[in-house]
Amino acid sequence: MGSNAGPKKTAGEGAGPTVKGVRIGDLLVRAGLLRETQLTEALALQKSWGARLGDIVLAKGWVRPFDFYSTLAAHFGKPFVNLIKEPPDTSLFVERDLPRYSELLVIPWRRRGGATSVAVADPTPEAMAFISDRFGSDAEQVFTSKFDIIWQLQHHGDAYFSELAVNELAASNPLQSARQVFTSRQLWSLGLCGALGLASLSCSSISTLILFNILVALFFLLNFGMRSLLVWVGGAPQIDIKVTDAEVAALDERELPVYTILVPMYREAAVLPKLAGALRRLDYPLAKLDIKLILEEDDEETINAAKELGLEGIFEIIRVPPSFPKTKPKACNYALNFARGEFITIYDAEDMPEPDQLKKVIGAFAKASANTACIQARLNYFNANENWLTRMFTLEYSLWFDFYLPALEALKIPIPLGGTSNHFRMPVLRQIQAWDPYNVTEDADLGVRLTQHGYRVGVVNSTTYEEANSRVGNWIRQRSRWVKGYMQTFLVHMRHPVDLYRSLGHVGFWGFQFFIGGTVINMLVVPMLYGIYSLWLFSGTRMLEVAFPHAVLYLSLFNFLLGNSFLVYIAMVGAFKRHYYSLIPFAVLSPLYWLLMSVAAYKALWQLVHDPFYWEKTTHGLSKVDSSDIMGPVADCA
Amino acid sequence: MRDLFAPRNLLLFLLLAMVLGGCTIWLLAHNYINDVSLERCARLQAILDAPQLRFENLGLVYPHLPFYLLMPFFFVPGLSPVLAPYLTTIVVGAGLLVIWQHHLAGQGYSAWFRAGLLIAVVAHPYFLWAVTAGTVQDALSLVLFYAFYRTLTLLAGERDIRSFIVLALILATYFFVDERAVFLFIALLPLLPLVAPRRMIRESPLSVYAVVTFPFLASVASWAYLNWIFSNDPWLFWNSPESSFRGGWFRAPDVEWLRLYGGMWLKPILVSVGYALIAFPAFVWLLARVRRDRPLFAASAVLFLHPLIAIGFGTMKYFITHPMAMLFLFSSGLMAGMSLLPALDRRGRRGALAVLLFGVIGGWYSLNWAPDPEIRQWRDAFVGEQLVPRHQGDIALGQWLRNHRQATLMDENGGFRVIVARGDAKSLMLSFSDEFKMALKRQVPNVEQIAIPDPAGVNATGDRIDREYPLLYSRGMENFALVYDGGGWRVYRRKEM
Repeated sequence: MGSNAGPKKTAGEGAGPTVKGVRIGDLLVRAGLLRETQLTEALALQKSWGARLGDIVLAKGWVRPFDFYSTLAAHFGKPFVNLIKEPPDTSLFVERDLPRYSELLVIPWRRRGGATSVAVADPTPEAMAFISDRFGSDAEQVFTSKFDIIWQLQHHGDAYFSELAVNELAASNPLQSARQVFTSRQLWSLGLCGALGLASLSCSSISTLILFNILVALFFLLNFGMRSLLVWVGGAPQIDIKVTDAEVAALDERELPVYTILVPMYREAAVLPKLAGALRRLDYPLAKLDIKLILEEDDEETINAAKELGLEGIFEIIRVPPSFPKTKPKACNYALNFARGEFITIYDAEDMPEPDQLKKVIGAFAKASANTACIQARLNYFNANENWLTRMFTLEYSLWFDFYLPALEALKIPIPLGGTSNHFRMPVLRQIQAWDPYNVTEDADLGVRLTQHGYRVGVVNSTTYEEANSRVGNWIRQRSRWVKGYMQTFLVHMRHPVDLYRSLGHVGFWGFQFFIGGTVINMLVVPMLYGIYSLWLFSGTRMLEVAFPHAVLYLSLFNFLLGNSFLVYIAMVGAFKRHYYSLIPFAVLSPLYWLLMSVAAYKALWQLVHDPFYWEKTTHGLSKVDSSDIMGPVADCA
Repeated sequence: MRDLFAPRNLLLFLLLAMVLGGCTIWLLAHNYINDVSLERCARLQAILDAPQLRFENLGLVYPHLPFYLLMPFFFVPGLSPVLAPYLTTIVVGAGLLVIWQHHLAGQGYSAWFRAGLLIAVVAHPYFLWAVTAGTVQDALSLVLFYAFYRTLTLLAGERDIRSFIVLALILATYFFVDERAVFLFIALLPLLPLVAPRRMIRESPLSVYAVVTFPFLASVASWAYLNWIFSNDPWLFWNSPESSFRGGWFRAPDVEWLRLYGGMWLKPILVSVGYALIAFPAFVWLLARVRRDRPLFAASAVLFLHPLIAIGFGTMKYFITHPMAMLFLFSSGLMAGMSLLPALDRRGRRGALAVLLFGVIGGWYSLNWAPDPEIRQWRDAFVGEQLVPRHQGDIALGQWLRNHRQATLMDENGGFRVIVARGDAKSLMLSFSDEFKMALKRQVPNVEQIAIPDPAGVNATGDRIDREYPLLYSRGMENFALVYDGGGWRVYRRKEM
């Protein structure tokens, strides 16, 4: 993208006509679009980043895209067209090529004199080869801005891209899509179990209750055992892919690939400036960032706010046209069509990733096995100490991301990815048809799907700080969506349990049962047990004794006393490992937090039946804590 | 880990088990029988012979894990249950020694040196007591404290989160193994800052304590909860006269150590330091050896101070009856210390062996000072003295009851030896059974037969039948005839109507 470019040469370089061989940087200076000092700095950055000069000046926001691309056209001696004023002839569009247009920043513009004029923003050899292949060797090139191409593609290709975003997975692999909530076989199985349970209850109610108690007690015992194992494995000093500061410093920025960052947002105009600041602070060559602000077309407020910010060229606004289901994964799938990175990640609007996260991920991929397709960064909260709920939420997250996920990875159990900061190799993500738009925890589902396809998911020692929900209602909405998504994920992958067993192996299969299915069952059963216990405690009734023969009673007592104590303890340990010392005493309040989870779980169950694809939107920006005031050190234990 | 089960280690295990077994046979052949182990056997026999197997029938005033370890031996055909505690301690002791040898081998020591260390440890009377006296909790304490001290040393050096978790879980488990846990737990608290990472202690000392102590406190709270639901008194395990958690509290006047130092804390510590220096001079050597390695020195200092502080606190609360009851843990500490010490040179190896062997002599010598009656018996039997068989009256009654198998009301707290001598507890109405509780509510128990100890005798302590019917032993009861009288026991049988 300019004759001062780095390793990736443009087609015009050294071959095409130029403005008397004047380099693009000099042209920009001569045109008064770039200052001399900026050019000097850009050239220095070009040397250290290995990026193209054009990408650098756009990433820095020193030159407006329109000015840059018109200068680039002059540099190559080609005409420049403004696609907004002179729109393309859409009859020339070939629908199946739309993703390639987006990838190569090429678009057929008009037919002139029997030849096709092709608008191009980045005349790379791949783009030239594509033009020649699709439009003939006599195709004429005109230059335009990449933003014009993206806008035109979105404008005219929205139906196609929407269809891809919504139905690609469901059409090509319906068994792995949550579009159908229950299969008929699953419904029959559920009905049969229910009928058997009722029949048994009517024939022999006491024996049935005893059997139920035995099953529940054994389930909790195994669940306790599983979590103990995860804490033990997750507590190992070298459990996750650790990338040291020295390794980060040793990375050659010239070798770093283009990195796409997706930021799905909805009605979050207020957090935009902070988000842009956090992304700018990333320790990664800006010119190699491909940031997509994914906004819903009806969200005028955020779109306008983004426009008003006058963001640099690395930021692109992707407007997602309205279609059902209105979910984050659908929006991400839509934006994926415009992504150009070798790696891709997702951040939420309020996220504060550690600045060196992208580099750490690159380092982690380099260290990981070849089949590692995704690296999950740890998530935690910047407003942990805001109130009781944020404290409990932080305790939970610390345990989840600092112990459980690394342990799941080590044990080769499918990892339910966190909502953000999961970093993918782009080709693999595309190959498995990206996110399931019908699943409301698409990330968890994707983690399992990747494992089923023979890929691995790793965890890296870098944290993204998010905003913990500080209000109970909002928290329940968010959690109910997560639990509903877990239910969907469990139902999807358990459509053919034998196949799942074959693809995951016994450890992976049982790990999936307990970590995904077990988590949901746990939340649903806990209130029943609390209720039975309260009834016994406060009424002193002996009626319940018949349902608890001695062996069952002992097992239940073991679970109640040691199991619960252990779960409280590991919450403490999670905070301890993360040096959130002030949160440790709050771990004893975990049972109340579990109860709150159960409320969300029942809401999720209700929604699974009545409104399975409804996306419970979490409101962000409620915290009174300044996100820049991140609490505590980020380092691992000692 | 796989190496641990290598054939050479299995062979070593068998060899050690034979050695420890030989020592135990020698002790038993000289009429040594440990009362605590006997009582545990009787309790286990009683609940296994009860119509319904209920764990609460074991009583909630003892740590339970040793009971569960004994249980499998009760199902071995032809094996007398009395031997179960001895076999358990032998297995545990030999296992610990093999693990230790395995760790030493990892240090690159020669087989000869390891054998020398092994002999020096096994010959020490404090270690021998723990693995041959049939006190399962002592043998298990050795194992747990070996792991505990190794973790402590690792924590001082590596500071990973796992070490904290292991440390905390060992303490939590220990509460269910041995009554001493409470005192050792409290003794650890002032020492924790010595081994915990400085940064953590500086930033949040409370969090370090919370993470290390919570599981132990949860164990105590769980036990209190179980006491509450099964006996309506959450603190029964602490308040009951039968509680082993109180150690020598209820028999303090009979115990020489408690007569001398009971209620004090500094003096018993100072005296125990004397014991420690005589019986374990190797600790001085160890501390001198690691004086320049701060984490190792801190950890070794904790190994040395921990049981001593526990002795001070335990004596103050009239719990321990002899410093050896805590000092035997030094064996574990030394073993752990040796296994983590940087590899010794030739001079260091000689020095280690020399101080350990001195300790063996000092240890045997120290047993002469204010020994607990149980320890005295063990020592006498070990040196070849034929002990006078004790509790003949109990044995005689047990044999008599074996031949007169009527349903008999009896309190096993005083009659545990009777149960062991009888060989089973079938048709006995023991204190945990509903029949026993119902019977004692009546003015005249509706039972076939009642066995009652002499209220003035040692078996009467805590005997509920004596307490409920204070005149029964001396005067009998309406409609009951005296059918057995001897050895401090009487049996009354309901007259035929």
